[in-house]
Amino acid sequence: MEKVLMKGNEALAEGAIRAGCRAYFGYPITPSSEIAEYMARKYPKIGGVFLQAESELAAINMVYGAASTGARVMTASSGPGISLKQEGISFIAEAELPCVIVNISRGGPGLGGIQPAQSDYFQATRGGGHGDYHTMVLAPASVQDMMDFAMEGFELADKYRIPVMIMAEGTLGQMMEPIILRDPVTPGYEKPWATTGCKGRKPNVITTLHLPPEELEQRNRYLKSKYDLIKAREKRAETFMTEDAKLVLVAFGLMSRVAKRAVMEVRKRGIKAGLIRPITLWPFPDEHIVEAAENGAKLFLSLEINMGQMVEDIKLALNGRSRVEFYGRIGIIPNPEEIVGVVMQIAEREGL
Amino acid sequence: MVLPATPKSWYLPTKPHKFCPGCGHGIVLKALGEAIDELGIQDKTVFGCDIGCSLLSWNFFACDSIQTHHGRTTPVMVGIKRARPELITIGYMGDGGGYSIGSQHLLNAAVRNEKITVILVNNTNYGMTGGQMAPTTLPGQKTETTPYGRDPEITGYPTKGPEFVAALTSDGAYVARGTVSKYKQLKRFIKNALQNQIEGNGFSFVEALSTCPTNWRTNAQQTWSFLEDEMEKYFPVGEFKSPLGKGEK
Repeated sequence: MEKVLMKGNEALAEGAIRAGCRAYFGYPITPSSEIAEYMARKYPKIGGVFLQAESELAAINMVYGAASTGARVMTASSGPGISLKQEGISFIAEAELPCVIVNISRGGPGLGGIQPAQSDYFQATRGGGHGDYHTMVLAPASVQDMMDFAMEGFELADKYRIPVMIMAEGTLGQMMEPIILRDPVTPGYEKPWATTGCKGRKPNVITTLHLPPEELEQRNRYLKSKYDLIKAREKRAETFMTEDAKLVLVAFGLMSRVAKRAVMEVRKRGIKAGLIRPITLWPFPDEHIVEAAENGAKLFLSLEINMGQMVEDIKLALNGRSRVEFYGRIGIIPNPEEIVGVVMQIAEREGL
Repeated sequence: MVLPATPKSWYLPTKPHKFCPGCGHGIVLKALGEAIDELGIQDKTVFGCDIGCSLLSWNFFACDSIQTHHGRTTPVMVGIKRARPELITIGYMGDGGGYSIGSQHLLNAAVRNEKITVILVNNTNYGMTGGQMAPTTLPGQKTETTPYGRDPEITGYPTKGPEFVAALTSDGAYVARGTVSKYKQLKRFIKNALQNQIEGNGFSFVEALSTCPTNWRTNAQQTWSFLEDEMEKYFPVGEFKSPLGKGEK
């Protein structure tokens, strides 16, 4: 099949278009802006709606409005902008409106920098705004993933009526790789709940207000049951050489590619290492972790481009079953040699 | 007992409504309901309400409705209208949502001349939270957070919404200020604001001066006198901008 060379942000935007997304609301921020720019170029030609909003708050609320009509809609930003959107994401999650929110992430806190980071892991996987809720979080590791996950994101969003976040390091948004263009899909979800004018039916009301305590609790229990269903069905991870691994590296996004190279290298040196790459950060693929432990992994090494966030989920998954260590950089993606050095040091210390 | 006629577009199971006795919201919403009926747009309307007292209107109409908050009603209605231009979108909010915490949205929707209708109720205070200062609180007016009266040296002068919206919008916008003390005029303004959206001319904005006896701590006579003598003096009533013919003063 013919491949084309595309930039990560543009592949993601094109993936959204191919998924039938015809509305985009956003606010410029590095390193995500190419997504908005791509939509601004494409939509006038194909009958889509592009609007540069006055702020991130406005953008996410425009998404709230457009999603309420059943339209496939997307917004993208980066770290500080995603923080501003959190208020709206909480409403969207509670109102159960499908949409895709993209975080082409950078390092924080505060303004931080525009270099690649995975510092928003907690924010993305713990809901991020006020109240008990989750968004689904997909972590691409290649430009092909950027296109594929954009398309998959809309399917998951419609299937579970949930906001789906795609979180990719800034580098992934900016770099180019050859990819296969996917065929466009026709969204096939009925949305009888949408606010499209009540002609011929009872009025639809999209509400997030539940004042009676029993109703509020019931609502939260319902959301939990939905999240439990997603946990049961949608945990995704890629495993590499974990069957006999004594030491398992865990890394997502771009870091997983570095980790995979390191695993191949240390295997040559006789170290039984493997890799688990979480693809869904929420729901976290804890069963993949547990399975590796059951297969004999003595030690897990969380590799992150932050100061240690996913490592907590690995510990929760293992619940004391195996030991967990952490190695991280921030703003800088380590090269495979650096990771090989870290792994060799551990292997020597542990006699692996 | 003879009950007063209610607009067809009202959702009757939620009536009588939950606003305080003497509150002006019911009057504004009656005018809006009658305007929706007369224009025959009930089944293509999406009604969005903000947080605060305006939120009590979330199930007020037998129209598709959506709850939002903190002045975000404006961009939510923009999102709906942009995604489905055939719908009539009505954002309903208070002075806090529109002029303070969500002012960026009102301002920019006006600048972009978004083809939506915003109805903003000005009762000079934050009612739902217990009567604090609003952007529209009059100089010298006592509220829970201006217990010695609003001092413009400290908090500035009241926001004049229709004036700033009129200044920011371009041709096609409809901007008016009505008052619950002049029901027929208020209803005409609201109907014009909807007609202007139906015609796709531009942003349509109506501020409605309204009453809040609960937080003003006023009796019936004092309530009406504050509205007609104080508020209407400070906030002139009339049409500021209309593409539908000559503006009404």
